[in-house]
Amino acid sequence: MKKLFAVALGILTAIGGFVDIGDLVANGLVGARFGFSLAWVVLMGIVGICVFAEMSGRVAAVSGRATFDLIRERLGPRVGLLSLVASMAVTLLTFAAEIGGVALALELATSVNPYLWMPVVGAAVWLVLWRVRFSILENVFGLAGLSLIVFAVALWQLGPDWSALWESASRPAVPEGETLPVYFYYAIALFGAAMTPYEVFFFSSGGVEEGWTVKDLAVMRANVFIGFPLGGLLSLAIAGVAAVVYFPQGIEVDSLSQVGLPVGMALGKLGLALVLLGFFAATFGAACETGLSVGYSIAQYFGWQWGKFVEPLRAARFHTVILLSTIVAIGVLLTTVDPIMLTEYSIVFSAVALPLTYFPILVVANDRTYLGEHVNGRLANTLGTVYLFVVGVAAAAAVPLMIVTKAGQ
Amino acid sequence: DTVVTEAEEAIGPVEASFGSVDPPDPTLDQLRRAVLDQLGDTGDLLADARIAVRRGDSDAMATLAGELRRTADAMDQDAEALQ
Repeated sequence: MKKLFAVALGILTAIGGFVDIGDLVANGLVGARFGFSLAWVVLMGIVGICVFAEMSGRVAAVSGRATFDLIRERLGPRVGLLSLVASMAVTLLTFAAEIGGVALALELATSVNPYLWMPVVGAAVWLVLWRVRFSILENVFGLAGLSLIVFAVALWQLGPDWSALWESASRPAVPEGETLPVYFYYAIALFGAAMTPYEVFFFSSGGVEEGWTVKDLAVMRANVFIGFPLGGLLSLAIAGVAAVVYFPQGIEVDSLSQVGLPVGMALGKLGLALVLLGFFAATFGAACETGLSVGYSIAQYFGWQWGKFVEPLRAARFHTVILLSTIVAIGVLLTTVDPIMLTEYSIVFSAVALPLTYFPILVVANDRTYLGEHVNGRLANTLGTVYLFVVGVAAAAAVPLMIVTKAGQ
Repeated sequence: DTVVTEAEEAIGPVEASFGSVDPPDPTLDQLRRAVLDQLGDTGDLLADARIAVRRGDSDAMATLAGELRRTADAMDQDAEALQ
């Protein structure tokens, strides 16, 4: 019974914790502009993150060490440093975007300017990362994030033409008025949002925090193969409500309030309240995850003690890195950069960093020195290789498309 | 409050951008005037909506929502007529 509860909790947490500010913004924006014609990218992203998250989780459970810890050891300090720099730059940008997202969510609830909230949110995130236990952090925000299920309910309530949605999703085409380069630019953005590097680093480091062993492989896989896809369905629901309400009117989404407005239309004040709770939980949870990911990656690369499973004093450098990155993130935000624009850039640059993140994971997951008999099987290697090619193409095309389309205009 | 305020802030630059473009043909002067009038009306309605939201005036909000809907429909009709 206890095990079943743990599995259920893990799945629910994975669902609620899947969506972050990048998914909220990308899916809202894409649904409004392209309808459901980019749904295939969300599905591709879900499969991709499942493949590599399972590898990362397996590495953590079998070796007792986090992925980045092994990347430097297995591939050498230079490749490790390249991977670190690439993923760090993107993760720090994402961290700033998530803090900005929390501030935007609080603005919607309180009408207080988000730039006044940003330092407060940054301080709160750092405090939570310093003092709150890892399991409490993960479970509270993961479960609260489940309130985003309200998007699925709203989509149902809006009574869309399901056959038209299916047609749009199953026979993707560039909508009238949009060009092919813009379509693929947003495809890459959506893909980057689904497969952001911090997710796998957090997942594997989190596995070590929670003391996973080989016995936990089944639970880990349940989290990944049930939780993540269901979380991905939430992303589709966010795109769906935008596709139903905004796409027919040709309305573009460029604010967080617009992402949640269709839920208010469908379900009234209760729907809006749940959306605001969901926005806050998803972005605050993701801010904690990205903040921790920055600390994990740097500490693991340099061989410092890391993690919340030890007292802060024993992992002083780890916590100092988190504090400094929080200050940097707030500093970036207080230049009055638009958090939505920051989010859009972070997910596109995530796509650029993907090969440097996922190639090392694929190598480590095939190394019997660390995983023994639990190395990748044929399916994992086939999917991993295919996705490595896909992320390579996405990474190569991301910046040229950004320039050619003027960031999707 | 945030949604209405953001919409009101967004319409200002739209009106300014459209107003700064010279019509390519004298026959389009009337269209320019009509569009600017509609944008101006929309901006006024959004300002009224912002005030109503901040005052918690539900009746005014409902009335203004209807007027905004009518303005939006009028703009859609003008856009279709142009095509």
